[in-house]
Amino acid sequence: MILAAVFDASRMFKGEGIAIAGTGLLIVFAALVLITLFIAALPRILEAVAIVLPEVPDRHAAADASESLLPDDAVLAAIGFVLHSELQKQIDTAGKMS
Amino acid sequence: MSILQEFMNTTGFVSMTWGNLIMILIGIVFIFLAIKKDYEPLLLVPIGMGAIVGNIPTVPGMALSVYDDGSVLQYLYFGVSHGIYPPLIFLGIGAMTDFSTMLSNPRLVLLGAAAQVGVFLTFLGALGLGFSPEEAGAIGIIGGADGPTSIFLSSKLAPKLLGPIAIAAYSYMALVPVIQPPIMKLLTSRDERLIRMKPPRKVSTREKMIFPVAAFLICTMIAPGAIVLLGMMFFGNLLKESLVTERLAATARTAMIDIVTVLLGFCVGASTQADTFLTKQSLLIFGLGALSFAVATAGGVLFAKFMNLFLTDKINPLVGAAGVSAVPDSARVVQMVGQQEDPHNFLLMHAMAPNVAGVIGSAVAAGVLWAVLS
Repeated sequence: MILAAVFDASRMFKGEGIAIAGTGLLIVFAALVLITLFIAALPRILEAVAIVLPEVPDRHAAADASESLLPDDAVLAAIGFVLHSELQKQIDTAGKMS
Repeated sequence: MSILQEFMNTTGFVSMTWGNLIMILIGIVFIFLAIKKDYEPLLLVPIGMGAIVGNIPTVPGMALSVYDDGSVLQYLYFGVSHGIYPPLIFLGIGAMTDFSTMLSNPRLVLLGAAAQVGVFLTFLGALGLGFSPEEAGAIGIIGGADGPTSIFLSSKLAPKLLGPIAIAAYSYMALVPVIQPPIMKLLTSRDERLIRMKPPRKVSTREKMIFPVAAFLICTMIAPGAIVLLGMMFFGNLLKESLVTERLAATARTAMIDIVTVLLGFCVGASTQADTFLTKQSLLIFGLGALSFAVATAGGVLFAKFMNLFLTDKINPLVGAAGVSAVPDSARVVQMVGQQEDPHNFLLMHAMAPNVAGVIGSAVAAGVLWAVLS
C-alpha cells in the first residue's frame, strides 16, 4: 500500500534508469556466460596443457584413503593381543624344547 | 544534591525516546528469534545486541555512539562505513566454497545470472519511489541476497541508508525459507518439481586450482568494480584449492570470518539509532527488499524453465531459486521443496551450483552499479 501510494513510473526513465538496469543485467549475463564457456572448455584446455601441467594427486583424497587404511584402536589392540599370545606360545614352546 | 540532579539528567531514562524503546525491542526480538527459532543466530545475535547498545541515549559531549567522532564504536564502525569488513568476509566465503558442482555442470551458472534480475528491477522500483539513483542502486543490491555485498555497495553509494539496507538484507536472508517456497510452487508444475537431474561428474584438482584465477580475470575484465569483492573471494578459494596454503585457508574460513562477522553484525546493529533508522525511507526499503527477494527467486525459476525448452537433459526448475546467493539457505530450500514431492530426489548438490554462481553474479552486479553510479 505504502509502495503503491508513492510510486511514480516516470521517475524510472529519468537519469537513464532503464538503460542502467538493462546494461547491468547484460553485463552480469556476459560475465557468467563467459565463465560457463570457460568451464565447458576447461577439460579440453587441461588436455592440451597436460605436459606442462600434469594432474596433481588429490592430497585430501590420498590422506582420507591412507587414514581409512589405518586400523582403529580396537583392531590395533586385538592385533597386539594376538601377536603377544603367539610370541608367548613360541617362547613357551622354545623353553620346553630346550 | 545538584551533582545528583546533574547526574540524573545524564541517565538514559531522561533522554529515552519512544523510537529508542522500539529499536531496543526490535533488538530483543532479533536475539529471541536467533536463540529460540535458530534464525541466522550468527548474524541476528550480534545485530540484535548492537541495536540495543546503539539505542541507549548518549550523554551530550561524550563520544559514545558510532556516529560520534572519536568514539570507540566509531573506530569499529570504520570497517563498515569504509567497506573494509565485506571483502574480508568474502575472503572467508571463498576459503569455504567448493566450486565443484558448478564446474561439473556449467550451464547451471546461468541461473545465478538470471536471479540478478531482482537487483535491477528493484533498482528501477526504488527510482520509481523517488530514491536518488545512488540510493536506488544500494537498495537494489538487496535483491542479490548477499549481506556483505549490500553493505559494501551501500557504504559506497548511500552511506546514510546503510543501517536499513543491512538489516533488510540480513532479515530477508533469514526469511528465505519463508519467502521462496510459495513462489517456487506457484511457478512450477508437479511434473517439473519431480525432474531428477544427472549426478555431477568428478572434478579434477587442476580444474579447481585454475578456476579461481580464470573466473576472477573474466569477471573483473568485464566489471572492474567487482575487483575488491571477487578478488578476495577467489583469493580465499585459491588458498583452499592450491593445497599448499591449507593453514591460511583454515584461518580465513574459521577464526577470521568469525571475528569480522562479530564486528560487522554488532556495528550494523549499533548504527540503527532510532532517529536515523525509524523513517519512512526505511519502511520503503523493507518493502522493496521483500519484493526484490521474490523477483530474484522468480527470475531464477523462470529462466530454468526457459532453458528447459532447449535442453534434452532437463533442469529441475526449483534449482533456479538457488540463483539468489543466500548461501547455503536457498540451496537448502530447493532440497526441501524438491523432497516434499519426491523424498528420494536429492537436489542440494545441483542447487549449490547456481547458489555460488549467484554470489559471483551479485558481486558483478554490485561492481557494475558502483562503476555506473559513483
